Amino acid sequence: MLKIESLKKNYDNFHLDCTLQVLPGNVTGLIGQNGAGKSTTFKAILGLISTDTGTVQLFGKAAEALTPREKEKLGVVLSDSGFSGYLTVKDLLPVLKNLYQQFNRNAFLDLCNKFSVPLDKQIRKFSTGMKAKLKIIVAVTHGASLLILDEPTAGLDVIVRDEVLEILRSFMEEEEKRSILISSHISSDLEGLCDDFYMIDQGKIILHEETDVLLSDYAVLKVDPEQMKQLDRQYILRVQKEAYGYKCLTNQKQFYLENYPGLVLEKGSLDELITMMIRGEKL
Amino acid sequence: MKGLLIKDLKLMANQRQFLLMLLVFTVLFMNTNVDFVIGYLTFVGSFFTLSTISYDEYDNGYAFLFTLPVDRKRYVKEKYLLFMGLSIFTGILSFVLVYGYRSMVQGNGRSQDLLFTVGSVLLAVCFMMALLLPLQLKFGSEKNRIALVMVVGGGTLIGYGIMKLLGYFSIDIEALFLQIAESPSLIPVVLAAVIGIVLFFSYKISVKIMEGKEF
Amino acid sequence: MNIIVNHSSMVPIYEQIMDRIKTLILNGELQENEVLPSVRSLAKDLKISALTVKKAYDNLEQEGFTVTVHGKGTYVAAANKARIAEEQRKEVEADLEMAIQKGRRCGLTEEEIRELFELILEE
Repeated sequence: MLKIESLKKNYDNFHLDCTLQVLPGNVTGLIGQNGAGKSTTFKAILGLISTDTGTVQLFGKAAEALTPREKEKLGVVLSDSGFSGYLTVKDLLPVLKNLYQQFNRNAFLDLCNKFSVPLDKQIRKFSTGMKAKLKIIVAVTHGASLLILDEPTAGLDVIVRDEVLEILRSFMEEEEKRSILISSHISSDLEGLCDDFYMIDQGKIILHEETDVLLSDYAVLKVDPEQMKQLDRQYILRVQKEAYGYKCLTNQKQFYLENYPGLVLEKGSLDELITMMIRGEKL
Repeated sequence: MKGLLIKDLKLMANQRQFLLMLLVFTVLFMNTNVDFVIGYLTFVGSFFTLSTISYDEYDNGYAFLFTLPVDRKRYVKEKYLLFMGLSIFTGILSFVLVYGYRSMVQGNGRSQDLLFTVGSVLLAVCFMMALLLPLQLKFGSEKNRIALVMVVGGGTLIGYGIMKLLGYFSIDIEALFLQIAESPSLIPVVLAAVIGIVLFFSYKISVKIMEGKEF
Repeated sequence: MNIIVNHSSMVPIYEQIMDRIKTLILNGELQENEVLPSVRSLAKDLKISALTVKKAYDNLEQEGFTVTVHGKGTYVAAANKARIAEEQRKEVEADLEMAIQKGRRCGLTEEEIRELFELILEE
């Protein structure tokens, strides 16, 4: 669906070098710290910035070569940009109808109604949560087959976030070959939605893993210095010094569960993964 | 592109208060200075195009705009079409209003006169916009405000200067214009041709500017 | 189909799903030729990755409990009950064996292991 190969973009003190793929039918997450390159990657995919080298392929075609008609298959949510705030949702209806052949007016209005999005108010007067919901509703009601979402749940409270994720899950359920590329700081959102994810740090992809594997095979061991000495290190990916001793990241939970039954072991989570991969040290 | 047009029209409709003020001014000056009315209406009407651009720019709106099924060329095309539509509309509107008013109040529409005024205003507006549109696209509304003042002011000065200069060379502009006015069928042709060429070049430049822009 | 997933458990989620479906088949709540929810639909309800559900479904099919017809869905295979019961017994047997071996490793006598066993049974 989306294929990026060696995409490079150089700024003064930041260099992006990115390779990733979103397969049809998958929800792929992009995680990383602020400034790691998530937004830059998104902008490069969407043609908002130029790139130095590398290729971006959307729907099997070079991204720059997409015709406006083909672009109708894309649904985009950017965290810091949207429709002009001086428009109302009612104003948007004819605009969307003329931009997208497959705009589904009924589904759109249903969702607005379901999520209490006002039709006659100017968008600039919406609350943050309302704006976010509107952006998502716009993205999922015109027959898109790929959604590109940059921090769609940023600044939202947990209840609204849940509602937004439900919209996304329904979107995926409607058709088999749909895909989503989503970036977020809120790991719990991604853990419950993504099939796989890429971790980006300082412009480079440092990890690609399936969520399923993360949640079942990754673990964090908490050990004191004594235990650390005894520990078999072959499956330890990262170590971080803590007040009590050490925190160790492994992707072979089963091994440590069986051989070190007394050890404090916690299930893998996205937050721990990010912290350990970025701040932890390799052995 | 239709979608973009609808968006811009909706945004303009939002400026109801401003439009109302426009109407008030028109009525006020109808009696005293007709040329002002025509100029005012046509200028303001067509300059709305610039305000749609600043709406697009507002709050980082361009980023999202270009993820829609729109390419840079189409965006620019729509702006120019909008401008042309607006100027033709306000041109005709002001002609009709003044003609109607004059016919009623002064008993004589003096259409020839009126056509000349409308025509020259349109010409001036097109020249200005041909310059301002690419500038606005390149530098954004903030910096463009200064450009706007400079162009309008400068344009007036230049126009005045040219008149004076031609006076020195004893070229009778009045006579020249009257001659053209004698064959009225020629006027719209010449007008259209000049406007067409100028706007075409301006369009090409604008497209180049937009294609080079990053968000 | 009621499946409850425990996110805090050390048991992988796909295994939890598999176990639950096997149990449902065993006690008749899932009948032969009944169709299971689609991968996406179940993923949505459980709020987990679709790949996890797919893993569970694929494994179930490999073990012979379900049959997937491309384009139509996943169906409960016929004549399973006995096999599931058998399999579950085998799993319990294996776990017990592991527990006993561990007990031996830790130095417990057979008597102590048996005591422990009785104690837990009574709980």
